[in-house]
Amino acid sequence: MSRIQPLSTTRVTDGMTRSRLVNQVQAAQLDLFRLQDQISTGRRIFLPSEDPAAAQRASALQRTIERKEQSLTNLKGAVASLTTTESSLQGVAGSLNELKSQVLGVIDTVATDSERRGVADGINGLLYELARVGNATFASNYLLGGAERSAEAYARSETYVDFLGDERSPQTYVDLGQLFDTGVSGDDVLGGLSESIRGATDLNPQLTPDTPLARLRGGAGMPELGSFSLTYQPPSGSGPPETAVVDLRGAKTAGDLARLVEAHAPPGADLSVMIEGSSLRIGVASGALTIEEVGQGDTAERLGWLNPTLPAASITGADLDPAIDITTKLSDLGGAKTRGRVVSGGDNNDIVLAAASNGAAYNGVTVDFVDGASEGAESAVYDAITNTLTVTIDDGRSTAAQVADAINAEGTFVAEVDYRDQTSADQRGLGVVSAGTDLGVALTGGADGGVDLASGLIVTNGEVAATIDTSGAETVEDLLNLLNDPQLGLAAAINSAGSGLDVRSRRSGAAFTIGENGGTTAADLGIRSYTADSALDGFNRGLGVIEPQENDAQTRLQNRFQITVTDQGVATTYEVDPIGLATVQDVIDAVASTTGGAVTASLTTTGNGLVLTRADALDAPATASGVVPLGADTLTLTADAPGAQGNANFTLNLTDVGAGGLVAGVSGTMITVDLGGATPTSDTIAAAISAQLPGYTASSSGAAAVTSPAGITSFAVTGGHDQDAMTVSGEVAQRLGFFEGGQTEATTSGATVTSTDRNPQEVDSVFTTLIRLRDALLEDDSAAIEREVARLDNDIQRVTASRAEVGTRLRNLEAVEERLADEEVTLRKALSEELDTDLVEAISDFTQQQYALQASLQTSASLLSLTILDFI
Amino acid sequence: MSLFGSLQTASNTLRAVQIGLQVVNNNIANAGTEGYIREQANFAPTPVQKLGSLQIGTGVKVDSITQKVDEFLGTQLRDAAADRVSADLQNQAYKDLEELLGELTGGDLSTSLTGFFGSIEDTLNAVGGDAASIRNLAVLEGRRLSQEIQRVEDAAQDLRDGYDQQIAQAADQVNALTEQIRRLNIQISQTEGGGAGKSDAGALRATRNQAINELTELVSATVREQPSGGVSISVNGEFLVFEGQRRLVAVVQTEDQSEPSSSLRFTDTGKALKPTAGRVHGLTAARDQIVDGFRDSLNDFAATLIYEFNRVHSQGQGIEGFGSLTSQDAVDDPAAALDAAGLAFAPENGSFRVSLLDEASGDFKTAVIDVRLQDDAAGEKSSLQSVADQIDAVAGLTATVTSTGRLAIATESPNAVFTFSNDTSGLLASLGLNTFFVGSNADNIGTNPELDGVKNAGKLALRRAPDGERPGPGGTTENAVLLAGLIDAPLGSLDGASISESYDQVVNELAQNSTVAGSVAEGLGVFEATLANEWQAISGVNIDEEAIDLISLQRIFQATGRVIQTIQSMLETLVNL
Repeated sequence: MSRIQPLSTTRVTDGMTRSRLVNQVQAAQLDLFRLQDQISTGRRIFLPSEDPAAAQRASALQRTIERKEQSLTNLKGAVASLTTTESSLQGVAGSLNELKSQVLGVIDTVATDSERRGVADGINGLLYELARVGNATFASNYLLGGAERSAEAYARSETYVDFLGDERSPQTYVDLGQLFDTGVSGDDVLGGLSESIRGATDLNPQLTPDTPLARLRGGAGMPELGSFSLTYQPPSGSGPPETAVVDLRGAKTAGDLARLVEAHAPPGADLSVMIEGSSLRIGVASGALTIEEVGQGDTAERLGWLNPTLPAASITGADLDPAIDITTKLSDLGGAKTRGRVVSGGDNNDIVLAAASNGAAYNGVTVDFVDGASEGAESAVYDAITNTLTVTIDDGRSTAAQVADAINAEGTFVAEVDYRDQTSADQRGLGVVSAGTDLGVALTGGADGGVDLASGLIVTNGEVAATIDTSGAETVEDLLNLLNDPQLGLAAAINSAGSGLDVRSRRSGAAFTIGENGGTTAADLGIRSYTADSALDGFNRGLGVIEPQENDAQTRLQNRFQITVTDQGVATTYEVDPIGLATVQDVIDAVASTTGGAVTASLTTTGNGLVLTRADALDAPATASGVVPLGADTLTLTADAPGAQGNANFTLNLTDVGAGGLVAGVSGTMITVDLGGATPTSDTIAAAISAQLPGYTASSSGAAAVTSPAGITSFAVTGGHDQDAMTVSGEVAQRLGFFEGGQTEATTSGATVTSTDRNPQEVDSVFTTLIRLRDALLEDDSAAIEREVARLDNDIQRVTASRAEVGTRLRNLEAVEERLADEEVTLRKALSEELDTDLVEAISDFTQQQYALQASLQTSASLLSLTILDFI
Repeated sequence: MSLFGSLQTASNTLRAVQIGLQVVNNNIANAGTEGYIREQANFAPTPVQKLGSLQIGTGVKVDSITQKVDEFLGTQLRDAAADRVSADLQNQAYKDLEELLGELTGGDLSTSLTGFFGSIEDTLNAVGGDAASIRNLAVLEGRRLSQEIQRVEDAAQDLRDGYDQQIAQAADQVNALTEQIRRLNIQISQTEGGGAGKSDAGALRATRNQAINELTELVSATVREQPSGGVSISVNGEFLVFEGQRRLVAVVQTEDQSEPSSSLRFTDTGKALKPTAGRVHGLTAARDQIVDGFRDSLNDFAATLIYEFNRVHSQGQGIEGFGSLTSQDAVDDPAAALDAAGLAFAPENGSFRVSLLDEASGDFKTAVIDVRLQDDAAGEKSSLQSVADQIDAVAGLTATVTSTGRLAIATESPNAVFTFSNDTSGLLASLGLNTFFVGSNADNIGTNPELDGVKNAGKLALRRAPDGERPGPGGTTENAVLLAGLIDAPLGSLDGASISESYDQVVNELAQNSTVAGSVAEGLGVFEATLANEWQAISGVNIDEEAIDLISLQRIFQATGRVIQTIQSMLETLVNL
């Protein structure tokens, strides 16, 4: 548009005329060229400033289109990846079904070994093929590796198949802000990781000054802590209340938080924030506190410090429930450490004290400083009986730092110089201390509990059996290092809840156990594979322990569990009722109740299994003996060997019918002694009987002469018995692992009977099934073959379900692709409306400008030609 | 009174008319001369003759020749011209910046930004192929984006330097014009001698007027005519010309943000010449506010991109770990608190983790390195040295502060590598450890040389071990998801805005300001044209008007000739008596 220049109201001059006309022509021509640009390029605006609002919209639209184009590229990559996965799985279910029919063909008794071996060979081939499927790649990416696609997903050895991937899926953006899982994990398709052992125990890590706030509340964190208001009520009469607002933004750890609060204490308040268990305790040395929120905040409430009404000298906050982290110290798991301060008069000389180990025994520890050492040679002694920590110092010369060193050297406690009474950071701990008694302040919070790291673990995974020494492990990460040793074939990690550890097997075809090594390490860590809570159904690779029958009577008949305890030759048999036994604990309880305490069942302290222990003292075998009068003396008959076999009822027939002296004879249990007219002594007679009675020795109480026959006297040789014994028998006992299949009982002459571990864990995978099936075929174990065939169905179902999942995702991607295409059309249209020339409008404007310029030129020419000079 | 007296009167008239004709002629001749001020011959009756009781007129004379000029309007016009010149320059500066940014075209910075984040998304694509190549491509895209940002910054700097040179050149022009005006002041005063007409030296005044106009287009100034006919010219209260005197100005270079900035100063007092409009003002505004303002915005955007991207990247792990690594950035004082140690991006209170992986045994050891920077009861703040000491205390790692103030970390075993994770302090990004970008602004942005080439592409930290897992090297891409999402993730440092919005702000601010500058320039142009019209209405030449004057003078001349003829006839009559 031509610029509008107002006309002068006075004169018109030649210069003005020329200037106006030139401006008008130039403006019109500029407009024409601009329109011509628009028409020739199709663009309405060339610089954003020509229409900033439209340019802004266009810029956003351009970016959106560019990003959606990238999304489409990503999507196509995802489609290609999933399609390749789908096609690589195509033959798996078919192969497994074919195998199933082959196995069913050789399961009957008419099949020969060579036929079974043939199928087993086929399984070997299938294992190779499935490992190849498991390691299918697309553009150098291992499709079934989970989120980790740069390395092999499965590693096959002679015996087992290890899954090296994870359960996650790689993701990509298939639309703005829309993440899509572009893969399936081999664990979901073929199986790869065992479901067990999921750490069931909450290891309950303690709160420490280094605990990140992000790991509180079970790992959910405590983000965006704001401010709270702290009002200090001094002791009555010593001043007005003082209020301070504490801003906790910027604090990243519990220690940060404590120091921030202490730094912003209200005037006059000797305020401290201490860790107590998994809470934070705020308190003042004298006076009291009220704590309120600021505005609509919830900081005080989240810390558990909200105390708006009744002033309190000390407020213990909420359980902040820290989650386990890889840097969590193992000594900080379970229980709690006593923490507090040791306060001396003056500045720069207080000490923060914490017990080095968990335990309530350290609570209220008495801390005494006694004079008696020269400066620099301080020493500390802890007396556990009196719970007293005595530090020998150089009175008035030793510094707090030196005292802390002495306490740390002793080792029961960890001491740090306290920043709270420092005059400056570089003077901290340099203040001297004086002798005194009971200098500790609020040394509380200790609680019993912890992990037995000294004992270690026994881990078996297939052919690998290892004893893991945990005594050197300091942090959870150290423990994970030990468990994740590639040789063990385990995947150990902190569980998703952040409360415990998951230790799972990567090794298909292998039985996997974690047991104790004489202590409680595995149980403390919650990673024992055989616990009181273990379900009996899971024993024996899912066969269980109890085989339910149609009724209880039948069940009892088919599931016997007998414990026979022989005590001094007396055998007592207990029948443990199998009805209602579901867990190991049920077995333990049932044994206790059935035997009335005569036998107790417990978990073994080495490896895994149940131990039956008899309650009574174990008796050694005893020798039988009997006494019978013999003249003035007595004859004692004693079995030569201990045992019940020596017990017998004898008859002594003392006669005097013959001549020629003493004759002794034994017939069965009849001992005949003929004095033969003589008067032999009783010891001679005993010797004569011993000579005739094998297995027994006769002795007399004296050597008096026997002068007259006494006739027949019966007497019993008794008291002989075998070593005490305990026998476990029955189907349940066999399935619990007290003896192997083919045996009927286990007997011990000791006090205990220990079962083997019948609850090993395994990876639920097609590889495990195939390896087990192959072994069963080679061993011609029909029951096992049938069991594995049933499992094969699960494997086929899993592969089919995964293919269906992939198919569903591909359909989803198709829908997203269609939507992206539609959106692109809409976006490009919108962009066109912002940026592109409306040709109709532009051409109309051009024509209009053309006419305007023409008119302007014509009128200008007319105006310029009009002059008075033409008339003079 | 006699016939001869009448003849004398006629003679006066003829002379006056001839002068009048010459003025008209001069006006016609200069009708097309730019800046010419119309002149007017002012006629006045000659003194009367007393004859008895009669007062008899003796004719006409040219009392003066004056320029038809309105001083106030002239001042207004000069001010408007100065404003328009300044506004035009500023408008052009905005347009130049828009051109070099090239927004709305296919090759703009916005496209490079989107392309870079797209290349990060490409690393999430299975179709991308070999991990090293696709990672290397992402690094190359990052380099391209850096170069594009640098290109815009360099071009903007060239633009700025161009304005600066023009400001420097203005000093000579100002001095030449003030010298010319000073000389003309003297000539006009001498010519007019302080007469009341004030415009006897019309041509000199026109020349001076032109010079003043040129000067005020350079530097806006207050122009006042003195009784002597000379003018005084002051800029912002400081006299530049006072009648026959003038003050020299010179260019002074001042270092601002390590870039030279030219400004005009009086050589005698050293005071700065601070025009409020005109070319120098426009150039200064274009240099300092428009171009440097744009560069500041671009720098802010680049700094945000560098720091925020690095903050995410530095907490991730690559396919391979580091055997040794030296920070890209250095501190001024290793013992100083890290938030006051001269780092371009100050870290905050927090911590980070360094993990050592023994590749032979597969063992990990993770250490938490505290970065204490909060003002609290302990009164301690971490320094680079204290951070180095903490890392050095980790078995298997050595850490030192180099003589140049950089943090150097290395493993003690050739089989060990280390990685970083969980940096809540931002120190890794501040120091340039495990970062993607280097530099701190648009001028020095680049990609980390540690990532150069396919052989180092494995160090691109696309993995971020999930919570509870050991942060070792690996091929997972959790961090890539975070990095790709960073383009529109709300950032605390931008009060919830994203990196793309940060860039949009640069463009939108430029576009809006450019639009406003265009409107202002157009408005001032119209205002100037209006005033020029007004000025023309007073001082311009209208040939028709001059023709009328010409006819009028011609008629007087003819009539006077007839009077002389009549007198001659009368004299002849008298002579023939």
